[in-house]
Amino acid sequence: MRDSFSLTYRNISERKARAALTILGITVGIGAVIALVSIGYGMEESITGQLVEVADVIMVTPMRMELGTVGTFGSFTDRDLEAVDRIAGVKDAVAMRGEMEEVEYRGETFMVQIVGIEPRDITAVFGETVQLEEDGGAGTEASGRALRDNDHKTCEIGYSIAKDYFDDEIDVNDRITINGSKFRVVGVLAKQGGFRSNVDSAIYVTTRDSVSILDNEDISIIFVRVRDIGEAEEIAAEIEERIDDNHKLDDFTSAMTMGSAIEQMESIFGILQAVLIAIASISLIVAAMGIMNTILMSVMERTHEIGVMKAIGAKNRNILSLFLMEAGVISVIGGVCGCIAGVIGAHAITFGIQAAFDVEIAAIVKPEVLIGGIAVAMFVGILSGLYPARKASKMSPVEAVRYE
Amino acid sequence: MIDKFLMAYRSIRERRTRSILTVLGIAVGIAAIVALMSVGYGMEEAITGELTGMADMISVFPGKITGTTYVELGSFTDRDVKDVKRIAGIKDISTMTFDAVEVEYRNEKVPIFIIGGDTEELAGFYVEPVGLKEGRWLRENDYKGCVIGDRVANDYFDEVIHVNDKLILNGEKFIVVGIFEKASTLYASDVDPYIFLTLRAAKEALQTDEINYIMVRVYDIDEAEEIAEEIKEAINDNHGLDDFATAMTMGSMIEMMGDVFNIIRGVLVGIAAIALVVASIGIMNTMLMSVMERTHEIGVMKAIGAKSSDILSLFLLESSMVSLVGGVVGCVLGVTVAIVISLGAGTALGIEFGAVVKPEVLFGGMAVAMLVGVLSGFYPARKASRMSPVEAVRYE
Repeated sequence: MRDSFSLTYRNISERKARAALTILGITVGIGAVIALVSIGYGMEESITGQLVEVADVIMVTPMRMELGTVGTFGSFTDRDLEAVDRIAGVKDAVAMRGEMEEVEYRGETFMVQIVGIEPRDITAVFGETVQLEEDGGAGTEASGRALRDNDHKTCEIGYSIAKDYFDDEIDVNDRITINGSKFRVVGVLAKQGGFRSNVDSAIYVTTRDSVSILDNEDISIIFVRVRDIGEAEEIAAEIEERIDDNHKLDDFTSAMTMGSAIEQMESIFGILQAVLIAIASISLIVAAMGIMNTILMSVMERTHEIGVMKAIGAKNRNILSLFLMEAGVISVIGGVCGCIAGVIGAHAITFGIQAAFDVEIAAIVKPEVLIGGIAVAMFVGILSGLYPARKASKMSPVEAVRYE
Repeated sequence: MIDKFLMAYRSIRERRTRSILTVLGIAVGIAAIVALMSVGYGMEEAITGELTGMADMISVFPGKITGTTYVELGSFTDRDVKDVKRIAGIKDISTMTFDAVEVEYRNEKVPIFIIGGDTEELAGFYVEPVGLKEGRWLRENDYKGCVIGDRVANDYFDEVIHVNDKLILNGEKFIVVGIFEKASTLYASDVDPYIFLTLRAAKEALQTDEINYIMVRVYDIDEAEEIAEEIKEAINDNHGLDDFATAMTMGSMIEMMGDVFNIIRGVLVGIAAIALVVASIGIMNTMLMSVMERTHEIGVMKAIGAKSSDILSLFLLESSMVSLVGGVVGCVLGVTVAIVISLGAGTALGIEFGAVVKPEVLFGGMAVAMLVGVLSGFYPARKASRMSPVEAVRYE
């Protein structure tokens, strides 16, 4: 065993350039796969990560949750909210009222999403994340303060509203006109971006104010927090039933648990990743051909040597394992290098994406991916070394020795 | 020149397995790229192809598109429609209105979206590509008739709805005159969950004069962009708002989709191109070995008067021949794979599309193969050409 190792080592180091190129081939292939998988996990994490924090939340909307259907069937009433609140296992039920309204600032008017919510419920809806960033956790510090329960005619505005919508930037204590009545800006929310960019382009007011501006008491979304995440699905079903009963309609409400939302996204990411990896694996096939080529040449060059080995008593098995070992060592080295290259590549690419699109993604390198990468490399190496190694082992010693 | 070709050919022939493996490597790389491109173009064609027939159309929405999501900001009024009609260069204008209503069928109430519009325009949009399973399409004077999507007929109510059944929309009775086929993936979300009415009937059932969508056809496609701009301004003025209406020409819509497809294709081809990098490493390896094995021969050639440039071109020729053969094989393989994939994906996703093989993709593939071959053959060839004849001849 040790002998075959040192023989392998000698062979590889004898033809350095050839071995290096072969290793480089498999490095590139494995590197590509590792990088893609790591970036994929990073993207998935950056999207579902925000949701995991609020995994005990059920989002209740008056619409059918389907791909491609736009618009809502109507709205909820206070009676629905009470009914939801009464369901066992519900910790909190929070109503959000929202509608597009005209907002004017220094002579410019835009339609903006106005969201009415009880200030004390904001944490329940957004989890801790928005607040944390407000405290300066992520560098983009928010200014001003949060809404308070007894605020009147005041609002918190999203980042894009403050910076992008109007020609002039809006600051804390500026006044904006929402649907004809004046509001004072008390706080500017930190930039959310990415998956929660809708927060950036909304204006938040208290429920009382929203009822008076919007001139109705319609509730557009109910957020429900449950005590036990395990019961979330059942509670969601019960919520749907109760509200549908209230409105005497079938399929009016859809209550989606964050758990199922995460699951849906994970399955989409799974498909996406599988496609990308499949395409990247094409380079592994090409690398496998490179290995086969190298080992074939190594066999050819050493025909004489093989003959001698056989003549002095080496069995077919010994020859086979010798060449398989060579292929395996080359590919494992390639696999290890590929892992390193892949991790570096993944970090470089996510950094590039961050710089270019302003979304925060950090490549996630899972140890099982690295180990898998090396295992795949080894597998590929041994498979593609099999044909040349068999060829070598089946040589007739007499003819092999005669080979010049 | 012919001599060089023959020599390169001979040396490729001599090491058959090695050459075949090298050719196969580059063929796989090129095939991946050609296949992805062809499938990508096929998908794009399937989606934008139907739209190019409507290039003279401008869609006007009361909202804006930010990123991938559309936000509705309100609705249009009759005054908007009148103002739009007055703009020069407009051939035809039709309006659509849609909203959810309670629909009752055999004592079951379900909220469903209804779409009301010009029957001919709707027919062009949906009936032609999707087709009716039962009954007939709406006529302009069908005030009490409706056509329903497949899911409305089969999923939403406990009992299946058939032609001539009665639905109650917001208290008014409508007769189902037609039922759509189950739409393909491309149209599923546009047709299956809806009930279609004439514009007048929809306005009555929804009890509204609000208009959610205006479709404009222009006389001259070249003027479409300007007219779209004018429409936007006129409506924004009416509402005293900035950024209220979005007017999009079919041309810019097709362009937008083209951009998205280009990005997707770019990413996929970029990943597939990694295989080419690996293949080029393989070529370099093969060439290096070929140079090494023929060191003695090179020495002899130099000794009898071959110039360095002759040696260089000899090996470059060899590597580019290998890669060109790889490119040709790759194109053939790629086209075959593309056709297989588009058949498979077509049946799996319910989208009908054929791979579109563009000659420029094939030529590009071969050119890339050739380039890769020459580039990766360059280092070994240079190494060969720089050998000192004395030492090379001495090489055993």
